[in-house]
Amino acid sequence: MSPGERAEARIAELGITSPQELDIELIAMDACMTVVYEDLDGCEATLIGVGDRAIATIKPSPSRGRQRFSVAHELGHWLMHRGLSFRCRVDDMDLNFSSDQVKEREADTFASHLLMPTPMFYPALQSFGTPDFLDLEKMASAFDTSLLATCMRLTDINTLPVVLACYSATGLRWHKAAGDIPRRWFLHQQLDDDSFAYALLQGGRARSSLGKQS
Amino acid sequence: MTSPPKKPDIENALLDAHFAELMGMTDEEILDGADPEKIRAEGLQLLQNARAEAGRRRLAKAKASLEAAKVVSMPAAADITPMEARHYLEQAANNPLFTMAARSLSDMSDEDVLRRYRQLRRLEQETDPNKGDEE
Repeated sequence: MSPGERAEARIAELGITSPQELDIELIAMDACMTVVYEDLDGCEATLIGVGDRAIATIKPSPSRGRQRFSVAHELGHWLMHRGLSFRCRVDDMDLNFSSDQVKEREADTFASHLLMPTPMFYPALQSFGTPDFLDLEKMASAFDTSLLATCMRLTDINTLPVVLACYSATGLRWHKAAGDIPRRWFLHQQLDDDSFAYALLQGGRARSSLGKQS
Repeated sequence: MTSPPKKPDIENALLDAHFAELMGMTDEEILDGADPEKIRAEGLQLLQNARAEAGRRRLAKAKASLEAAKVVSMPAAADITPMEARHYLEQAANNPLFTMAARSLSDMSDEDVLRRYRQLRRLEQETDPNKGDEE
């Protein structure tokens, strides 16, 4: 069973059928993982487990969605990587999402499916047709997830031709394409200065609706 | 030495007889005029309801545990130095009984090390209450 399937099987086992019922602390406690929120030095979250009990320590964040993702990520480690020792999530979300470590990716996939299970996420997505950023913000609000995690899940579910990319002033940091995007397509290392993304990066001017650049 | 012959179990005998009777019946006799698709749908619905109820009970139990966990205090680590705590955690990291996701111990602040040590001791005491008496 893949990490995503494991997460969704858990949600089904618990009889959860709506995003409002996705109480991550309860789901964690059901797996004997207690969640505590305390300030951490250099880590987004840590996990410690003895036998079949664990404590996940989560760094408090103003973004509830980000906190919930961290809890779900640690729960993924607890359920899939029990008995092992490894490095924690760092406190840079971009670096976490671009991590190429197998266990980290597995825990991220688990978390993404746990908080946005396909049987709930797909119908919600379908109701928007071709969603723009405002619609994705509504999805994020409904699932109590961050906009970034919601966009990652949108890419992962592969129903729309989406390429999610993260650029900094120095260029492309990471990207993720939907499964059906042809592999031969590639992203430029630098943003086109006539693009909406460039305007957002340089001037913070976000365009929430879809449309072509002039 | 042989054990005395067992008395025939009346419940098993009844079950065997009932099973044999069912196996001898035709599909039409078993369905007794009912729609097989409807019976299947009803069976699946019953199963789904039972699963949902089991899930709700698990979550209710988790909620009670969550409330109880709020009043559990972390054991104090007054008599241990950060260096001793680091050593303890280092040993635990190599034991498959323990699961750990953290920064490298050498990169962790003393405060983080002591917190993790306290958490580890709490879990050890929860899983084996006699463990707390060792120190």
